[in-house]
Parts: sequence; structure tokens; C-alpha cells
Amino acid sequence: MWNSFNTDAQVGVHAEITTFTGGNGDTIHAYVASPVTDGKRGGIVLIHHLPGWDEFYQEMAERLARHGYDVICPDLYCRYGHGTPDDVTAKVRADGGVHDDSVVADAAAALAWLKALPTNNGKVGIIGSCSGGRHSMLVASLVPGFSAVVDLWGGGVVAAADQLTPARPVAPIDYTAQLDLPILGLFGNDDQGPSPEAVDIHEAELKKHGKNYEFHRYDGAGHGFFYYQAPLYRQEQAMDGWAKVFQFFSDNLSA
Amino acid sequence: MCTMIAITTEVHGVGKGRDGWFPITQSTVGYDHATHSQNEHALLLDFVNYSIGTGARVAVELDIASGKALLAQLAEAIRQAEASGVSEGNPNESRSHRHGELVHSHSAA
Repeated sequence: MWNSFNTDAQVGVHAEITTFTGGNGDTIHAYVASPVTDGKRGGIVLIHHLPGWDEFYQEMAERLARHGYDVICPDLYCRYGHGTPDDVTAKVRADGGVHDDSVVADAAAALAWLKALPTNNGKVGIIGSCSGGRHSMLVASLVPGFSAVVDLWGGGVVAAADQLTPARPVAPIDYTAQLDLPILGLFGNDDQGPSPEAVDIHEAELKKHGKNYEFHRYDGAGHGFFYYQAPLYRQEQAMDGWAKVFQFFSDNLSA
Repeated sequence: MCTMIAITTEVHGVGKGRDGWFPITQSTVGYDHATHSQNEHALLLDFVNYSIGTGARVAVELDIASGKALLAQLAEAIRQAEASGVSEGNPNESRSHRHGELVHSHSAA
């Protein structure tokens, strides 16, 4: 839980940008964050949102590491060049968005990177928000080896045929049958994407296939209610949501 | 939500970015998550030249009403320009054309 450390405990995080071997054998950047403490622990692949590999995600990595996990957040836009996050994102947007296959390959490589750490306890989760929530569900469906997935208001998990694009050719809901891990979903009831109706459809599909899932839907919140850098931020819902995330990872990523 | 709406076009012009004026080769008009405006989504106008780098970019975020007003402004300005008889196209194309004429003229001589 947030703000529940012992004041005489050793608490600290080491975090930095590094490179690792991503999908297709490409060397790409990642933001990695780890607790300074020794011992075995779970790992988390953090999938950034459509607005890019940005400072919010660096701080999110640090927050997760502060709570006891080795975290890697791959720069999914690395192959588009470098610059400020919004400039790089503009280029990705003009190109139609990063391809799902590229994201899945980089996430699989990030999973392998975490599992090779001497501190890894054999458990790795995956989490992302917005497009990163959708990508997390997609990766969890297609890449074996994850122990838990968190979808933070991922838009496009449910998608009609005319909403599919060359870069996003399949709706992740179509892979529900092959999901084989605990799922946590957090959503705002004022969100238009995913709308409450889309979340209903997603939940019905999970139920139909007997999946182990936990959805929480917040009144008074829309899209991106964790984003303290934007007017979307909702303090009460965000703090409750973070508590749900910490509890879920504690339940599923402990040895 | 991520709309993934983005329409990209080759354009000819110049823009003033963080390092001064530079040639613009591409425009993208999108409607997706805003980076800086207070709305969740915005019309995203990017004028770029990626042969220079990702930072060669003039970015504007507008709400839908402003986008419609801009569209009307552009249409009216173009209408008046073409009616004035002094509307001009791509200056580089014009120069090429003039060079072509000059070569042709020279050859004929």
C-alpha cells in the first residue's frame, strides 16, 4: 500500500534509461527501475500509453519499483527516432501508430530480460494504461510466461471491424479464450473509450470463458484518471486504483 | 480513448520552430489525445520535416470549433487569393519550370 513503509526500513530506487535487446533483435531503449534492496522479487513490464514514452511513465516505473518490483518500460517508439516525447509521438501518429506485432515482440523481450535478472522470483506481471492497457491485454494473450495483467482503461480492447487498422489488425477481446492469468481492470464510468458499454462486453467475454478477472469501475472519473499531469486526474479514484494495483501485484507476483 | 485518427499530406512551405525557420514537407492533422491543451482530445496539427529530425515540427492543438473556424478561414483566404489573380504555387516547382523553359529556350537558340 502507498505510504505504508516502516520508517526504519531501507527504501530506495535505482532508475535509469538503458538499452536492451528488444523485438526482432533490435537494440532499443528502456526505462528500468529497481528497489535498492537485495532478495528475490517479482518483475513488471510497463507498457507506455499512446502519448509516448514520457515522464509520467518514468515516474510510474519508479513508483512500482518503490513498492518492491523490478520494472522495465520499453520505448515502443524507439525505432522512430529520438526527440522530446511529444515530437516522437507526432511522428508515430503520422505513421499510423506502432504496429501491434512490434509491441508484442518488445514486451516478450522485456519479459525475458526481467526473468534473467538474478533478483527475479519467477513471476512477472504486465501493466499499461490507455493504448498500453490494450497492448497489455494483447501481450498477455499472446506471450506465455506472465503471471498477472493490469488493464488501465485500455481503449480498443473491444473494437468493431471498421475500427481495426493496419497497425491494430485484431481486437484483443478476440483472444480472450487463450488468456491464462489473473486480470485486473480499472475503468472510469465517464470514459468514452473504453465506454462502460465496451467494458460490459469485455467483462461478459471474460465471464463466458471463466477467466480469473477483477474489474473496478469508478464514478466521477473518465479516461486517464491516474494522470496527475492532466485535468483528467481524479485524486480519490486514483489513490483507490493504485491500492488495487499494489494489492493485485502483491497477490500474484509473490513467490 | 485513442482514436488513431491521423491524416498525413505532403506539403510545401516553411514553418518557424524552436530553432527558427525551416522547410515544411509534411502536415498531419489528427484528432487524438492532447499533449498540452486542457481537453482530453484535440485536433492535432503538425507541420514537420523529418529529414531534419523529429524536432523539426510546428505543433498546434485546437478544439473542434476552432478547427472548423480555421477551415472556413483557409477556404475563404484561398478563395480570395485565387480571385485576386496573384495566387502562387510551390516556388520550387516554379523555379524548376522556369529553368526548364530557359534550357528549352537556350537549346532552341
